[in-house]
Amino acid sequence: MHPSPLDPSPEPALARVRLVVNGTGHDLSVQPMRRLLDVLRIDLGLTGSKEGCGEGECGACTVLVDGNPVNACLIPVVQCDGATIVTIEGLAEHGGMRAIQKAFIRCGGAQCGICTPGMVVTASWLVDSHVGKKLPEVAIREHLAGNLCRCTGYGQIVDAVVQALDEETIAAGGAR
Amino acid sequence: MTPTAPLVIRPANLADALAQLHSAATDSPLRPMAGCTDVLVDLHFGKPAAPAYLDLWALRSELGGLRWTDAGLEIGALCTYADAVSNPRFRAELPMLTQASTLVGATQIQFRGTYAGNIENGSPAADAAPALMALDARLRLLSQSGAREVALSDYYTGYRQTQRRADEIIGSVVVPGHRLDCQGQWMRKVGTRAFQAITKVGLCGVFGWQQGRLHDVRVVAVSMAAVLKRCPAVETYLCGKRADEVDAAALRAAQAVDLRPIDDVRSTADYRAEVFARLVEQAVRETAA
Ligand SMILES: Cc1cc2nc3c(=O)[nH]c(=O)nc-3n(C[C@H](O)[C@H](O)[C@H](O)COP(=O)(O)OP(=O)(O)OC[C@H]3O[C@@H](n4cnc5c(N)ncnc54)[C@H](O)[C@@H]3O)c2cc1C
Ligand code: FES
Ligand code: FES
Repeated sequence: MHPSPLDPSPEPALARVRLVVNGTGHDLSVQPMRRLLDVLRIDLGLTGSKEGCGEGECGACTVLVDGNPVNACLIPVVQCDGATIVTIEGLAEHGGMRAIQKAFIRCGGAQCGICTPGMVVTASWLVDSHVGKKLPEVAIREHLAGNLCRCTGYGQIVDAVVQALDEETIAAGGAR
Repeated sequence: MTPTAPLVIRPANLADALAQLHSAATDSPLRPMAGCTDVLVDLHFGKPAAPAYLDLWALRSELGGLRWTDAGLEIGALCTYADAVSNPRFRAELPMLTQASTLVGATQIQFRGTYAGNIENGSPAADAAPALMALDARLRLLSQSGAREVALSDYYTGYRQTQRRADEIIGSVVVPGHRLDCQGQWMRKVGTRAFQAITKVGLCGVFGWQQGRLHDVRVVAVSMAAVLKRCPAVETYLCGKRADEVDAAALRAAQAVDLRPIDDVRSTADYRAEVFARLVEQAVRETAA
């Protein structure tokens, strides 16, 4: 992003940061303490990730950085230099929805939708990291504790994870 | 809300980081940043930014991970909770610290938060720092002039005040060998929710038994004072006792020597004192069994 021509004060110390977001490389010159969330939403126009709280509590801003679910509101962009980032926009593969996304729709895992982008990103990580393994309901709830939902009551979301994990496990050739 | 634009120093390696800390130490000390789960929350709530930060996150290959040595287990400054609990040996030898690690925030926080950051942040309601204190952990502080070790139980000098000098970072946290796989590791966090909750009252301890009597006792009180606190009077009282010899009134009297609980938004002093005493009783009961 270029500094606005209307802004008379040149930025004092911009950092050069390279990100790969949803498969596309970006070479940015940014304030180093700018939050990853703002870079994604404002600079790159990826408004799928939401800001619910800005303090790490709600998980609406969850994205995958180098494969791990993290809160984009708590990461200075400088710490993502060289990182590979996947946002909700990049989750679908080859234009088709993943099993977890379809399961959310089938199970009614979304109502108002504000938590959904972050919830689906965390849930996708949970499924991917447990293909072929046992994942009891209590563990699903524990892993999703950093994603707050005020609408669904979580039951439908847990169902979606269970169903998607079964499907992915079968697709990977494992027993369920 | 976007934090204002402070400078961020991006060291090439550990030696460079220590050199930069050293040259800035007297005039305008650099603030280290690791997983930033405390640093960015402070900025979000409008606390003034440091003039300049020192980014340690990129030094994970030098300062991360777990290392078993003759001295015990060395936890690198950049080791996250998720890094540690993914290691089967860590989980087997340090069940209490594993439990504490999985209670810090939730998944997303555990992929970013570090043990060193938890310690340096200095919250009296922290989860990992008291578990480490109960395990007799020591800190290796690094500066350009070398390394020094400080016992974690001596590290805090006041509310969110530590012994760290402006030219130092925590390089690692060392759990001594005698605490690896030691019996009687026990913790409980009392909060308002099972996960992603701040501790109202907590206890981390070691309750080691020999021939039916407590002989190796560590008790650390969480969220009971301005700092995380070991409880020497409670430890001395319990040492040598059988479980059925622990007297409710005498235990509370010993506890009153160690702790004068705080009254704050999360709980009253009376509630804290009574719940803490019951946590000690529960720990004795459960580890004796
Ligand atoms: C939503 C949420 C929930 C949380 N829940 C919990 C919880 O349940 N229990 C709990 O204990 N904590 C909790 N925390 C606090 C936080 O996640 C932990 O304290 C974490 O371990 C901090 O580590 P960090 O690497 O993110 O530290 P940072 O934020 O990077 O740093 C914290 C402090 O330590 C200093 N620092 C960091 N590394 C070093 C070093 N190597 N040497 C010297 N100084 C250093 C920094 O300058 C700063 O002052 C929560 C935070 C959030 C946002
Ligand atoms: S907006 Fe990041 S956790 Fe709520
Ligand atoms: S669907 Fe509304 S908050 Fe989750």
